[in-house]
Amino acid sequence: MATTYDYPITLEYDGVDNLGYSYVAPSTTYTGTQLGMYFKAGDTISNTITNPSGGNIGDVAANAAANPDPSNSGALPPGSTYTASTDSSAVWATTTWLIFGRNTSSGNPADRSNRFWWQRVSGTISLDSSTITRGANLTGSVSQSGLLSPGLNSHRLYLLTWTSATTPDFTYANGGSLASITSSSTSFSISTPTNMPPGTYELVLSHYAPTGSNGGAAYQTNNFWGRNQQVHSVTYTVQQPRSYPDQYELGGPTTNTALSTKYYSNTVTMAGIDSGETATVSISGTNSKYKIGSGSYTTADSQISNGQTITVENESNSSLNSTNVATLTVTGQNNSGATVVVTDTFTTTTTSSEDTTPNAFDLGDSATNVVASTTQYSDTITVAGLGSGVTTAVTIAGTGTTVNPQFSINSGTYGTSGSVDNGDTVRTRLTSSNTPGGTNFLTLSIGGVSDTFTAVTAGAGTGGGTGGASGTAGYGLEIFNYRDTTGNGVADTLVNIFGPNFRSCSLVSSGTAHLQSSNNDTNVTYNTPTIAGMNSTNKNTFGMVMGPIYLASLMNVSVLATRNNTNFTVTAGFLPTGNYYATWWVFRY
Amino acid sequence: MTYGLFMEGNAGIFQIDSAATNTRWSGLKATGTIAANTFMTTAQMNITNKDLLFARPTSTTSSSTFNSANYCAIMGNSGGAPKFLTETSFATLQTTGGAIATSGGSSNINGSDYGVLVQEADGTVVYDSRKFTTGFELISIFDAGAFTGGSREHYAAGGGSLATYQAGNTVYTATGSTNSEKAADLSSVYVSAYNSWAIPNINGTDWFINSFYYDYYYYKIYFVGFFEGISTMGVPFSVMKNQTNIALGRIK
Repeated sequence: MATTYDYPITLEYDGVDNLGYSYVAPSTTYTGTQLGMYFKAGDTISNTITNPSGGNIGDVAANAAANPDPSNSGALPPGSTYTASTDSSAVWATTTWLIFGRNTSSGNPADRSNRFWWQRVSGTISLDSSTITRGANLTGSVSQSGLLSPGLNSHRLYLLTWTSATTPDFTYANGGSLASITSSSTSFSISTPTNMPPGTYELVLSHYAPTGSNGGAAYQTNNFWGRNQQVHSVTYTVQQPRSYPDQYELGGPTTNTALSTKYYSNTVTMAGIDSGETATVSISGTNSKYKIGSGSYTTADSQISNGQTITVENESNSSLNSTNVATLTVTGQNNSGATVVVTDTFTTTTTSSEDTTPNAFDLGDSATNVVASTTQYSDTITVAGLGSGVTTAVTIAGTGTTVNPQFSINSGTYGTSGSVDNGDTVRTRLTSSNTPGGTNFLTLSIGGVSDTFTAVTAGAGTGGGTGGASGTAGYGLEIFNYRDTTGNGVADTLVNIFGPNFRSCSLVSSGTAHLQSSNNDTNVTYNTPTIAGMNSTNKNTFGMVMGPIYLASLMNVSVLATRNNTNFTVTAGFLPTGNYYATWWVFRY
Repeated sequence: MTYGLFMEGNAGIFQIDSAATNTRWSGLKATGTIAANTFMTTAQMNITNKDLLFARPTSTTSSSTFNSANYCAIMGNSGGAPKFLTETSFATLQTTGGAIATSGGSSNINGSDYGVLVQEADGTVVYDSRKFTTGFELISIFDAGAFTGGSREHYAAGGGSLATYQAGNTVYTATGSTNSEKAADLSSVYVSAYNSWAIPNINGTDWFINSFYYDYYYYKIYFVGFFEGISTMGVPFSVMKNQTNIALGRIK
């Protein structure tokens, strides 16, 4: 805004110097050693200078001149009233004018300080960034010309922010924070309030100017800033911090899930939220929760910062082919203050049909050569492979005579009906056939999967055995008894205690061997009595166990028992004088 | 044979002969563990009742060299009740006529109305299935003198080798497709232990007669029979064969 300045100045006599410039601008009006005023291009200056002495009004061209004599600058202020009407005037545009009055008589200059000057100033603002986040500093520099050396407030250019380029004068917006630059320090940094509304603002560069009026109208109301002193202005944008995150991906959907089972999304990391800002996290959906970082899963809203993670938990539906949707919402604001909602969903859809078929199972090998009409047990199987939570019926059937097939679930009571799910154990039993060589078997079915368990009774004798002691003869006499295998005092398991396929032990005879040596005898012997049933044909099925004969002598310690046709003989190769006894057993096997 | 019961099993193994006086079937009377150097009780082993003793070391330690806990040897007795050099697991066989059932206050374990009873002409019991719930299977019987003697600890006279000792004294070699199966098999075998005698490390001597060593490194049972004298006295290391039969068995 072009401004018209009118400073009527009546010079005062300030003593006589040797140059005769004794009339100066009055100190009562202007203070300081540099009395004057900046102006900008386009301003109109129409000072009326009165020299009561009637002498000349002179000037010097440089305020630092040693002698403010027109002869030093070689020029007078242009115009009779010293009006700088436009900056087109080369003189007024480039020259600092210092105004003095000259006495009619010669004399020493008592004080050349009180001189009035006009100084044209210009400047251009350069912002480091035309867009800043509120709370940050608006920084830049000013390229200027015309400022005098720093020292006084007047020798500065001031920067102040207006709410917009169209707002009227003095409507500053940055909280009144006034920045300035000098001729030697041209950078500036202006703080912005953290609650500054986002928008476009104007930064105005103003020069210092004393207040005053022109024709009764105030041409300046503030020394430091105002449209009238505005040298340059730029606009810049203030934005608020961003508090909403970038889009995140929770993953999924998870399909064909088990019923009523918790599933978890990808763990997503919040990005894009400005430092110090938080967004609001909320979740919706049946059986849906979320957690931040390693916290606990919750349904309550909470705040989240940049870099924090979120994991969503969604419990699948309790019904088949049903979908549960967890919707995670993170709400914040963009730089313009508008609310931005970022959402993603994590869904679980339960399986459309449950697996009611278990894995195959094996009831074990057949029980063979078992006693007729006895209870026979299969191996115990563990149910696996059913769908989560699926329970399926167990059935059992028998084939044979008086089979009585039954099963026990988890070691419970044996019966013929029941149901199982994964992890249950099942054991079956049946009654063996009541005929020699008879076969009874049962079929256990679980969810369409079956296995059989067979028991075959010992067959009728066919004569002649084969193999060794641990053979597989299908004839002969087997004797069973029940044994308490669990230690609970109840005989629960049928065991074979006698049979044709293993050598059992029968004690035939026992006694005490007496070996007597009268005089360090050699080959001392002891003969057992005749052993019942022992003969030359079967003698090799008789054995003898005897307590040790150990000799006090260190020599010739050989003692051996030999098998005769009907008895045993014990021989000591050398026996020190004395009597030696040992218990013996003869067994048949 | 004009009366009674005579039975043979597979391949002619002897089962019962009620005509052979005093032939008494023996079933399992007791099993358990007895600490080292502790006399067995008569409930565990009663020599008066003609109990037959089978045993094995409780230790299943595997050692590439030697582990004394794996010896099976008696080192004394009190009235016929033995004590062992090491902690030992035993299986005592009792003749059927002398068996006393232990459960339910009955003389018969599972009642009296079923089972097999075989008697001699005078009513002496040869076999009574009601007295036993467990049998004992003999898996090997070796004659006296079948093993050369020596020890897993000292090998043999003249500083013999382990291989030589094993060749002459292996009573049993465990079977199994894995080491754990072999170990389980080895620890299921009991040896006739009553004929053993051990006087270890007395005045610088070791004396083992009719004893055994369970080797869980090579999964074998060895016969042990030796006397190790005091070398400075010029007493030689002497090996001793097994004096009588050796029987091996398993609990059924």
